[in-house]
Order: sequence, then structure tokens, then C-alpha cells
Amino acid sequence: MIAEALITFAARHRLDEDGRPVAEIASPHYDPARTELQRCPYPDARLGQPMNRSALRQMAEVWPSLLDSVRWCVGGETTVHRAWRAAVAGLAAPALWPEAEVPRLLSAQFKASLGLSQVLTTLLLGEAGAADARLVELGDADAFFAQLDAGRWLLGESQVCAGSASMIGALFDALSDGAPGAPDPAWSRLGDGWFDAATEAVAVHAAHLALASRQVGAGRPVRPETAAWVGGRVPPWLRGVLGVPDRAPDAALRLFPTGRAPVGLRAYLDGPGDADARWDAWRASAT
Amino acid sequence: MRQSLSFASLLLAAGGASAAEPSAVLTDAGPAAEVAPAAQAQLVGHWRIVQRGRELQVDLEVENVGGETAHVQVARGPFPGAYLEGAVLDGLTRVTTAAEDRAEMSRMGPMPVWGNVEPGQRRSVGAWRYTLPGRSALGPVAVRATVQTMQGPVVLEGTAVVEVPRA
Repeated sequence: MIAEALITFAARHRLDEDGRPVAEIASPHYDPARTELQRCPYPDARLGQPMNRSALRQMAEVWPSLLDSVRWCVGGETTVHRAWRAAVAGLAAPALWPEAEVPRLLSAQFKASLGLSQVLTTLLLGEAGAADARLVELGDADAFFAQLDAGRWLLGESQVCAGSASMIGALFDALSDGAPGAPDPAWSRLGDGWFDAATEAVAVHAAHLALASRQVGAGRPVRPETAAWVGGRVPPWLRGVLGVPDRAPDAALRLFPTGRAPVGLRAYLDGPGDADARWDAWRASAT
Repeated sequence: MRQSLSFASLLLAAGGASAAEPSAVLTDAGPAAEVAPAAQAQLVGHWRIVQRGRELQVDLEVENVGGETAHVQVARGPFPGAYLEGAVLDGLTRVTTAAEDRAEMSRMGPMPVWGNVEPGQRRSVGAWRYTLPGRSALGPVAVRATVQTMQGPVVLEGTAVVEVPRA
């Protein structure tokens, strides 16, 4: 179920307790009539571009709880990998919520995680050993924001990130600090033990995209679902996989600390057959 | 290796732009026009090529000067919609001999996000960064990008004169 939720970007179809689509404009339930847009007032690359004020208002209502929640998701080990893992958990949580209306906290954390996951996935895939580093070794909150701004990470296709520089900085600090404390009740209801399954799902999906891209590039066909992914119809957190031509499938190992890649990812990379055969074998075993 | 890791180095590899002030804006080489074959949409390339020390930043927008909507692969966040290829690399590698002088390219491939470019509208299709080799007076660099459109690929070209400081 966890793998399915992430592979299909199931959170797109969920509504939260405010009646807002968890994934906002990425959701088929996005309603412009119930969404207040404004021109971005922030003095950076986003200035003057459309920004979702309704989503920002919702996030502000739960902001302290959201930061606590992020810290808890990171836990006591404050590596880049753990920051990415926390973002992946934030992506999966709304789809796993057992009732119709997703709690506001999980909805807001999903929004924050969506952007973070793109940056962190791309960052980890780009360099072996980055997963082992502590997040603060890469720079502080100001350096993080500067790179997001200069690198256009805050610019969406039709809307810009609504978080202010100080909010993004606070989020970075929460990821950097971590905290081993008690989870929010919403997280408790989701149970535990599924974070690792979630990260494995994203990593195998990344490896699969890379292998399938190579296969297509070599003129060997893949099934239509796989071809659509290779063509770019992937969840946002995997865009960075296709962003580099001829990405090696085993770059997915870089998402994890050295020597700690999940068994399922290893099995996919070492498995027999073409991309679709390996994918099927992993899906048959994944939770 | 870990000592060299930073957001700047890691997100540079992802194709992000620099926060540094430009030392010079070398040229806006556009417009250099190409017409999408058999279509009423005409694309013009607007290039912005900026040198910051040994870093070269190349930005490309397309403008539709035709009468109908063009459907092109556009930039999304840090991911370009077009390939930057050929002449830039040729121009850089031609003066490169030592391995440490290799133009370390932070090129990103196209992210196939289709977007409409209405008549008269401009949209970004990509931004790319290069680390220039430790040579001076590199001279003219031709820039060429292949922009994907629904009607087929369109090649847009521009030129810049690049002066590379010695290492």
C-alpha cells in the first residue's frame, strides 16, 4: 500500500479537513474559485508571480506543530538522508490516512515536503556520499535558501512557492535539528515501521526510471506505463531522476547512507531481466 | 569528499543558477529565429549569456512571433525543457587539454513538460551553467539549443564572446 501510494501519487486525490486538496494545484480537485492567489511579494526570483495564499494561510495555522512534526520525522540522526526520509514520509502520510479528511497538519506537511523532496532527491542523486553528511555540513539556512532562489527551485510551472524565506529557513533548521521526541497524534495513528518502506519505494522507482530510460534509449521497448514515466509523467519528487541524461540506475543507492541501501533496491539493481521484469519482481514483494 | 559538499556544489550539479553577481553580461544574442516546420507558430530565441568569473550562465527564452499557439517543452523549476548542446561544448573543449581544465558541465537534459506559448508570449525553456576551463581569451562561443515542439525539434542559435580568467 505504501509503495502504491507513492508510485501513483495517490495524495493528489485526497482532501483535507479544510476541504482543500492536499496537493493543491497538482490535484484534480483543485478549485480556483476556492483559492486566493496573489502576486508574490517576496523580494526574490518569485516576485510578482502567482502565489497560493490560501495554502499559505493554512500552513501558517499549524506552523509550530508542523516544525515539531518535521523534527520528529527526522529523529535524532540529522543527516541529509534523514532529511530526505522525513520529506518522503510527509509525501506518503496523506495517502495513508485512513479517513476521508486528512488532518490539516499532514496536509500542510505534505505541501512543505513536496518541494523539499524534489531538492533533496536531486541533491542526493548528484553526489555519492552526500547521504552520510549532516545536513548542516552543506550550509546553513541562508545558504540553502540562496541556492533554492538562485536555482529556480521556488518557481513552479504556474505558481511559485508560497513560503517566505524565514519559513523556509525555519523548515531547514527543523530538518537540521531533528528531535527524537513523541510524534503528533496524527502520526501515531498511521503507525510506525513504514518510513523505510516509503523510502525504498521512491528509490526503486528512481532506479526503474533510470534503467527504463536507458532501455528506451537503446531502442528496446518498455510497457506503456513505464514509457509514460520515462516521458516525464512522474511524481514531482522524481523529476530530478530524469533531469540528467543517461542517469545510472545505481545512482539510487546514493539516496541512502553508505552500505545501508534497502534490500529491495539491491534486488532491483542486481535482478535479472529488463526494467519491467525487475519492476514486477519488486512490486510483487513490496509492501 | 565530504569536505567539498555544499548546497552550492550539489545543486550546481542539478543545473541551478549562481547567487553570485555577474562580472559581465556578455551578450543577449537573440533573437535568432527558427520556424517550426509546417506550423503557423514561429519561435524566436532570446539568449542571455552571463559570465561570473569562471562560470558561464546561459538562459534561453522562446518568443512566439507567429499567429498560433506553439506547444513547446518549457522549463519547470530548475529543469530545462531543451537540450543545450553542440557548439558550446565544442567551443570549450577545443581549448581544453588537461583533465583539470575540462569544462565541467552542469547540463540537464530536457524535462518533458509541455507548455503553451501564445502569440506574442515569451517563456523560459532553460538555464544552464558551465565551469569554464582555466584558459584566457576563449573567444566567440556559439550557443545552440534544441527546443522540442509538438511540430518537431527547432534549433535556436546565439553567440557570445567569452573571456576566461586564468586559474
